[in-house]
Amino acid sequence: MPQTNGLADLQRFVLNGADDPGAAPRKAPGTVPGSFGRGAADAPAIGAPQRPFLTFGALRNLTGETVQTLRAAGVGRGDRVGIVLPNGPEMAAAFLAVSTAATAAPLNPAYGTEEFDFYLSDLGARVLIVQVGQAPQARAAAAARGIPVVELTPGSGAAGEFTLALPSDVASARVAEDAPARPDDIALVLHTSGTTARPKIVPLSHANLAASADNIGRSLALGADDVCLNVMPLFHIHGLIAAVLSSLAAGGSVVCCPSLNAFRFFTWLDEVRPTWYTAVPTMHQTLLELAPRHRETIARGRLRFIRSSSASLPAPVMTRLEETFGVPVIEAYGMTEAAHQMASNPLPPAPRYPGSVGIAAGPEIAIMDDTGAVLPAGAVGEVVIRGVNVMRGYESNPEANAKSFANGWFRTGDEGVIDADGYLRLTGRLKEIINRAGEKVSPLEVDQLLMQHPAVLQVATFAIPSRLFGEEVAAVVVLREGASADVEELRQFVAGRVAAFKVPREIVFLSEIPKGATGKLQRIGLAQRLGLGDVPEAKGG
Amino acid sequence: MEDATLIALITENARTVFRQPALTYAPDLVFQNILGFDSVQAVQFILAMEASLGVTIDEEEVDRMYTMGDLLDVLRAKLPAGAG
Repeated sequence: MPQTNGLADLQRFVLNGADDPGAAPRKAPGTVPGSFGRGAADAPAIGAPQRPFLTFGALRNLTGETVQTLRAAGVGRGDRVGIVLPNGPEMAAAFLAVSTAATAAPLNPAYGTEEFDFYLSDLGARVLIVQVGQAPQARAAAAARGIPVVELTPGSGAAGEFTLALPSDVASARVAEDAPARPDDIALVLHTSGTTARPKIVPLSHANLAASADNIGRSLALGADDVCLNVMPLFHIHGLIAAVLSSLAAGGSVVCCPSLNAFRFFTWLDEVRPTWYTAVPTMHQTLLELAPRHRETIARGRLRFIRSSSASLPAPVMTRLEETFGVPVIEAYGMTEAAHQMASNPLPPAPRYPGSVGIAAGPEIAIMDDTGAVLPAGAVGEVVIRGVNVMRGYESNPEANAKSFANGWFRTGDEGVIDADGYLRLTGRLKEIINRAGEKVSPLEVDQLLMQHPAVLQVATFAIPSRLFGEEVAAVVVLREGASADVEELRQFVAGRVAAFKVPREIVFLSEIPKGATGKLQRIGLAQRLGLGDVPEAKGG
Repeated sequence: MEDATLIALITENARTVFRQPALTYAPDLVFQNILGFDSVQAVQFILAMEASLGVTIDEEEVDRMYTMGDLLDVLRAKLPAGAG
């Protein structure tokens, strides 16, 4: 492979660590390639069921090749590269390689054409990477906006290997600049749904990601012998950082499954012999349903712990998980804006408590009142954070930034209390966001979609508590006089426009939208007032 | 067990789990195309079928279930007509 000076620089940078005996220990702030630059060249890095591992050395070579290919496509540092790939080892490797070369922007493959059009446009994607023969809707959205599509073909050897094929019209657009990624460069952009209909762009720097990966590694005492079984989607921060980058930063490996297939999970547990996995509570609950028929598999496994994050883990589920798998369950608290982890329960022998998301595990955590004053232990208020892993601000969104930062702290929108021992307990949510099994849904986005239906006069979308999903999407609809529509018609109307997880499970027709005590719409608590959901109103988290 | 009985149970469980009260059985209906289908609901659906029929469906069989007709084939093999 021909090497330019720039690529040689990149290789030196990537390899700075375990492969270079003379190298000084990496100093913070770090980078993504620095995080996976420390693993021994012949050690396993990325795996997949029934496939040989991609080693750290091969991953670094693949990264170097990807940098060259993207430079040939005119993609430089800071350019946005949309990635729409099926879950699996190629997605993990592509995230690492693309973020080393430019800014990775993974998108949910389940999005519809309209959603892809919004996200690709909002990101200002320079190119889009899709797997050969897949993602017709993402391709259509890219074509409509003139965004070149780079096709990824998975290799037939080690897990995660791939080649990229450039379209002919970008092949002559090489950019000369291919210096290594710097800590302040934006490595990853993700959208986050919030209190506005329009998702906000969260730009995360290399320093943010590297710090978060190291924080998680420290919390979980990850090392070179650890193997993570990843069942999380790799277009969310949880899977990308907690499963993939934290494993590699510790010199360990991650085995990437196609997706959560609860029926396959126990076969993978036997084959892969992971030391840990991380998932959302819904996934844990689903696995618990099938666990009784796999007692022998569980007994001969070598799990060291199970991690749970992205939604509140019900205490009975935590207890059943620990009893069933015979290992500690570590509940952690994360969000995209913090490059995932903020707090985590510690490993034994330190105590862990059901209902608590643990102690500060990376950034500083405090409780703040409405005036911006930090409150003492035991006081309830908004959870705020600050630290190397926390984003500097939403992109091109001064209004959101003004609301989200106070006195140098980032406001999470969650309400909580810290006890005298530093354990954080979430008590509620200040934002009206819906958290369906870790997928965040903006009620305003669903409102706007339903309002496009000709029969709908008014709508209010809100969360209903769900035993299995934590929360699900529901809506109250007021129909126009003389107009008619039924629940299925409205669900199909929404389903035709957005990903399935945003489609309301329940739609209730009323003559007016219920208002709170102040006369304003209050989405939080609406489920309880209407008697909806299959469990009592859940707390935030 | 007779096909009509199996089809009625498939329909009833699919309507309940996927929250599709108007869903009707069709042999070529692809599960993934049902609104509300995801990996979690798939497990709930299989568990509901198992509970209804008193059988266990293993992961190789689940892997073969792309359509409702595929599920019916698996159930027919477990519960031959006249046996239940």
